[in-house]
Amino acid sequence: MSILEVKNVTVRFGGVIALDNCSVDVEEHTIVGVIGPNGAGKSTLLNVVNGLLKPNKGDVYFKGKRITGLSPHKIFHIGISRTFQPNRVFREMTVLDNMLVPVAASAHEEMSALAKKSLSMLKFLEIDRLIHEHAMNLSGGQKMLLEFGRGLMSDPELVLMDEPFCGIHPELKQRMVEHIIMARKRGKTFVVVSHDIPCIMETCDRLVVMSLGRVIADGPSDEVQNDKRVIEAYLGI
Amino acid sequence: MKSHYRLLPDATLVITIFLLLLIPLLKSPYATTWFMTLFLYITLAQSWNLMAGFAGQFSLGHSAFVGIGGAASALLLLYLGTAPYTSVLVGGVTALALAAAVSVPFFQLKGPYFAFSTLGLAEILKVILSAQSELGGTGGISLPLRIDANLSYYVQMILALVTTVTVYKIAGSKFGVGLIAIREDEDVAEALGIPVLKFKIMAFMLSCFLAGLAGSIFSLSLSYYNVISFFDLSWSLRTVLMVMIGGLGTVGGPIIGAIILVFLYNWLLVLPYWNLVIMGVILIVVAVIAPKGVIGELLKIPILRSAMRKIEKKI
Repeated sequence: MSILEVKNVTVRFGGVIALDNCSVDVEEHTIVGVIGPNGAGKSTLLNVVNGLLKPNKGDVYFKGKRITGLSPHKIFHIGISRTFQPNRVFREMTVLDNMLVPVAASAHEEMSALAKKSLSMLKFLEIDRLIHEHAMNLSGGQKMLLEFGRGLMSDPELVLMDEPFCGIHPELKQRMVEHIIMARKRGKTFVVVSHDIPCIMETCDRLVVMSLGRVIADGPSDEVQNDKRVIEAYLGI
Repeated sequence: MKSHYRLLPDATLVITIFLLLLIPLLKSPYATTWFMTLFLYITLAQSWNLMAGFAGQFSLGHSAFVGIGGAASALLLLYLGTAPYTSVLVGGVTALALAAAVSVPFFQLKGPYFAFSTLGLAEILKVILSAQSELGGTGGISLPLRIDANLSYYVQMILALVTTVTVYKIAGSKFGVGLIAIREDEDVAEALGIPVLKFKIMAFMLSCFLAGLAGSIFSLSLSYYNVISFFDLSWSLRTVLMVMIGGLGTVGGPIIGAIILVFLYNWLLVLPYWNLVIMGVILIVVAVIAPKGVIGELLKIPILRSAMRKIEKKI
């Protein structure tokens, strides 16, 4: 069953067409990778899904319900969370306070219960020792993990991740891959935008390849990577 | 969760409040007036800090809400003979209503555009209200009743205390976390479920309500109201200065800033034409040398920083 349906979406920035009649389906409990060269429209696609951008044409459905045009905080509360590229942790806030933001407007629990929940999430990500550190003092990889954990705090059904493997140590990349796969096993669905083909291949069940705002290939990861159009779009041959 | 913005341990706080309660018993008009000014400044600084320090919305029009609060309570006292402290409450509610009325259009603007819109509001209201004979025009108007100085002292003290406790409670609450997230990155806060516009409006209305109460009590304690002086830009500048000197986005900072400004302002009274210039220079110097204010500088001292960490870990 599709949890997310993007139907014939077009987004224009002045004369630039960022998404051109783009359609993507995401099945529940899967990890879908979105790859493509720079300017392909990958991040724009995520921005349309989470409401930061309103499409000029087309619609987005979440669990069969139309969510086009809803504000980002409403989309978040129906179960779609996201991370950003480059990472956008709240630099002047502590790791704990960063973790509390997604539950600040919704959860009915007391702050102490939410702090415990944050701590257990940070333990899962193995960065619990940094709980009282200001986010600005974290390394790039730690910030990525924090953003990932923050995205899971509200227990979303769908997580949109923008370049989660970008600029981090190979060991941390591996941890991130494992965390995503583990979270999927706990019932989450992921859409992961990345340029890191080895990580994407290891993580994702399905690949969507974009170029110039269009989907040029969509299918199981191993099939898509040998697709002629994909090789052409990436390598220009 | 314990708020990590708390600066004074509980016992010190209780002793400080107890000592402040004793000030009127000294029968020194100078001391009473000095502390009343301090309480007024603390209320203004804390209320502005809630909006600017926590939610990141820099207003330059705090005087609009001080002025409108004072105007509403003066009108009630003069023409309806309302009880003094009922009129104070109405003054606060009037400021809140004004904030509610302008908040949606103002929050379509960001950064300096928002700041200038609030500044414009204060100036427009000053021009309009100073033409109203009911408020005494530009010459001001005496209020019929002068309340007891000691009572006025305690009311101002309670308002400063309530404002500080409110900001302290918010700082350690989910609402506070949401406000700080808005200050840090509005788009990300919105994408993580914070209803940004609603939170901004709530902070703005609360901040303006408190400023309106302060303006009302001030006019009552003076037994006088003057549109020109109550809407004067210097109220807004003094408020910004106190918070910047003490430490933006902290609970202790505005108190420290208010204490410094009361000393400073008393000294600057001998230079009536230069005090705004000197305050402007101080603001620039603080912004350059100590952008996080006195609190930020204090936290550079290892022993104080580790004490703060201990408080933070009490979750």
